[in-house]
Amino acid sequence: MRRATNRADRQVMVGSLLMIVGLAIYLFLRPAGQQAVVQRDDQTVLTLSLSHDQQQEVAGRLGPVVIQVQGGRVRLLEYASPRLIGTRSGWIASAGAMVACVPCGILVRVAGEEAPQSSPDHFDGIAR
Amino acid sequence: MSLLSQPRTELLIAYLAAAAVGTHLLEAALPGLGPWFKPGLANTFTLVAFFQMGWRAAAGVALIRVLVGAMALGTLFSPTFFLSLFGATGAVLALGLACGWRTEKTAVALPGDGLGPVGVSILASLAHIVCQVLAAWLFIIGHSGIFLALPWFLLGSWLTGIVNGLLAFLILERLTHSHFLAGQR
Repeated sequence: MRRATNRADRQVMVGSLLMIVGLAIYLFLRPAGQQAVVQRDDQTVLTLSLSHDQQQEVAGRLGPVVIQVQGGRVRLLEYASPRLIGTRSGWIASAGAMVACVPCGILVRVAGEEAPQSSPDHFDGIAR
Repeated sequence: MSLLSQPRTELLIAYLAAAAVGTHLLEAALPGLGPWFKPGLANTFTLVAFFQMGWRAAAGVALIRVLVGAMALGTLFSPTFFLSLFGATGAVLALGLACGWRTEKTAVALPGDGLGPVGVSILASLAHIVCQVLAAWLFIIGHSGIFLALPWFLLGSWLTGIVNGLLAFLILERLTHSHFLAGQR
């Protein structure tokens, strides 16, 4: 029986893995976020500080969705969506990270990706 | 050049498409391995079509799988269907690019000299998930934060690409020695 892989296959295997690891390192070496912004159908319905633990409930299309903040991280807990992808996605903390329950129409993102602390945009964001 | 005469080619496309649809439905019924992660075993049959009959046959098997699979699951023209369609389109385009990669004799001496089933499968699998994430960003989520999850998606695709490539290699080995193709040589 012939070998399952040749040299070109192994080059693709190693090259693509290195690319994925490089991308992961680049994306995850980001500062932690300060706030969790909860949106429903593109409208912001709740903003939570990640600096203290709390739990809030928002109304999703399929029923209530719990937003839980703990240890500087946030997650959503939906109970009525078909595959519970949002819940199974787990905790997020990095600026720009997001978790969504598409059937519920609920999206939670960690704010802080757009501007560094010294940028004037940062203060505009807080003032809003 | 195809190894098969026209009637046998169409018959093999039909067999592979039926197997792909069956696997697609079976996977949909099984519990997921993680959020937004599916093994995509049905794509194994697209790979077999590519190595056995070329790019057009692979595109046919992929399109039939997406359309018939969605009809059977009742998701035709739903967001899931369009994500699946975008993913399959990306994978088929990657297969087209792989046709031009000819550096050395492949493990299975068929179209795409240079890359074997595993290499082609990895490229197709990565293209599949990149197109799906792009479609989700453009049409469903609308927020660039989705790209933060891209490394996890890519890692899952890389693993499933290897598994599907190895499965395709085993099927191709069996097909090479089967009676189905024996009369064509």
